Amino acid sequence: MLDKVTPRQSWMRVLALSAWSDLELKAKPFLPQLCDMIRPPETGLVMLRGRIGGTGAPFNLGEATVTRCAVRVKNGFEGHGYVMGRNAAHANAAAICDALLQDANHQASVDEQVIQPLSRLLAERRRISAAKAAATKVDFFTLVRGENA
Amino acid sequence: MLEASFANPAHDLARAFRIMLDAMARPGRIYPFVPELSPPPAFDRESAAIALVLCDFQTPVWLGKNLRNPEIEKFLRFHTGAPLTASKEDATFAFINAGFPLPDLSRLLTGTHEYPDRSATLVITTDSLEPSAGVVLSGPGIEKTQLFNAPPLDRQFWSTMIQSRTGFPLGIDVFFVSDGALAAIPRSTRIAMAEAR
Repeated sequence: MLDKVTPRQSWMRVLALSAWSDLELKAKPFLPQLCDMIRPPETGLVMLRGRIGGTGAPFNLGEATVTRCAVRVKNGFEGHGYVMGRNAAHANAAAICDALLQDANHQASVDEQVIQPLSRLLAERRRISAAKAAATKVDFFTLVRGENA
Repeated sequence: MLEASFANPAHDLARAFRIMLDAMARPGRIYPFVPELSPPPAFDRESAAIALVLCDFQTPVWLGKNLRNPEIEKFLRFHTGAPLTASKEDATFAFINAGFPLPDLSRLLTGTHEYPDRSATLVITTDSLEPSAGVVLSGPGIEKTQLFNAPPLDRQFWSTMIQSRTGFPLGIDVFFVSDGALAAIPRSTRIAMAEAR
């Protein structure tokens, strides 16, 4: 089920995870769209679930603040934005970009100017934090133990 | 195409809820009800407003035949999260239009004696609501009697309603809507046919 990520899933991921300051900068030329609000940005709580332990039974990890938005751009495409936090502008921008990315006329330019640079930024951030974490890595090794001698 | 919900959800929904509450408290009284909403075609805005206010993921919705179209279903699923059901026995809300042959309403949930609240609420779209002789209502929320008529609902419909009173406290609660108006008849209201003159 999880092995196939659709292109739409991957661009929605980039739109949701990118910092608002980055998204705002990249998406600026596309945002002044005439669009209808299907659902104006609204903030709510989402229960995050996790699995832990040998049985793998799900448990409620905690609640996260999520803002969502749904719009329709003028070619009739519906876009949805879900982002963590309370930034209504971010959810709105994500929804508009999602709608434009479904439109063949805009897809290439939005992908090139928004999604690709943002996913490079995300990858770079991830690399930096992974490198920082890697620097703290401790290798444990076991000296010859009694029973092996 | 997916239509928008209320522009101002918190306020508009609360305002609509208040009117619905008043209507249930004063059975048969006709309230002005003009939700600012443009639902999908074939779904009147009054019924749509009731759905938006009352339905959520825990309330299966059953739609009359003429309301079953992808636009309306998408609208309800998106804005309310309510599951749509094909069988009346599972529904907690049923939406029908009186302009079409009425379905068999006796199969709607009426609750159980332990949980009389596990019953269905029926929303009927009519041509008009009139405080004139069709039926005579009395009971809680009505000082003496209240005349009520909702064409094109006929004597057959009302006799079904009268029959459904026998199971009280079990039964269904009904909202009647027409263009710009709302009335309600909860299960506690006694209904009698108006004498033919």
